[in-house]
Amino acid sequence: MTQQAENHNSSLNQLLQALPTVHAPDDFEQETFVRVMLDQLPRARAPQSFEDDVLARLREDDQSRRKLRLRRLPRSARWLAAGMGAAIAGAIGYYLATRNSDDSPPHPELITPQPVPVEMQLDSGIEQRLLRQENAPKKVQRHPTAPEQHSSAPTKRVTPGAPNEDE
Amino acid sequence: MARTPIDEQELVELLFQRKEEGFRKLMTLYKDDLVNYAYRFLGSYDDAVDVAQETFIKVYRFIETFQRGARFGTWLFAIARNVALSMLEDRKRRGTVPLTHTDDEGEDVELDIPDVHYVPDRSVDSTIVAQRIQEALMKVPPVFREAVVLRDIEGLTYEEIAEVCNVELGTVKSRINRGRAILQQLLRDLYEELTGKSQ
Repeated sequence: MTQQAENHNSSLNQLLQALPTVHAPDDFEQETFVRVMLDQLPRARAPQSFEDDVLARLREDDQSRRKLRLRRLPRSARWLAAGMGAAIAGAIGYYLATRNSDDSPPHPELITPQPVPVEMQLDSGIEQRLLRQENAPKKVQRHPTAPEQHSSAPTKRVTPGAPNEDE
Repeated sequence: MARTPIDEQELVELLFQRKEEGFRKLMTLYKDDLVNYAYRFLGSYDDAVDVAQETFIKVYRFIETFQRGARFGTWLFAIARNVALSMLEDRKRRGTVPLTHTDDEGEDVELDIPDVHYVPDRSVDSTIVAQRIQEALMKVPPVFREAVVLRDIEGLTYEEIAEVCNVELGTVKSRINRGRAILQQLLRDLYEELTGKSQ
């Protein structure tokens, strides 16, 4: 039993001796020095109200964002209204332009224009006078059937066809 | 970042359902880590708290973008890093670093100081040693500073840092080494003062 234990120990020693020696890094002293110095620094602690302050700031941020959104709303509404106005005006303009172009004939030279009554302003009394003359009763005008004969009698006029007053 | 994954998953699931309880518990779990990370990176406690709050607000708003099964902590730190970096960019654009620090009488004093002259926040770093270490940390370029803070202060693994910073593992290692080397140079005098022996 003892022999067995000794053998075990010796093999263990051999294994341990086979392990490589670990050396300290080159900057060991430097690292230790810096750490020793920095270890003397006290730790800065957050204030007691830290959590409440953060939550309050979060709420404030939310509120200010909401306010900002509300403040921005009229401006956006204005832009929207302006955009819509421009769109409506454009649509009306387009409609009018296209409607006029539809009425105009595609080939105007082929279509006879409709007669258009022309009214002229009466700028003188001539037309009225003419109209009056047209409406006035016409005098019966006898057309002589025979050429008028001039008699030598100074006062007596012989009219053909008329009853002879002398008879 | 030692969290029970099951608890974390349950809380994330509650957050997906917009349950305030889950969100609150997640904040409680991570708030100190985030504030500490942001403070060590930015050097201002007020900015750090602001970064942490902003991070959680983003988490709440964009939780739908989180892939179930991924590490929530890593995602959280990645958001915090982005928020902190944009704050740093904002500072650079302004050319100054607005700082609120507590003076000796406990009053908050507003300062408008250029980035190169960092004034430690005494409300967090009350000791001279802590102030000088933080001062040195602020002199490390941000790209190396964030890697050192995430590794040596927050204890993230190299893989997690690679995920947070969205860079290759090799890049993370070199950034950490570089950052540590700069910090070692800057803190050498302080170390000698503290231990009485040269490093």
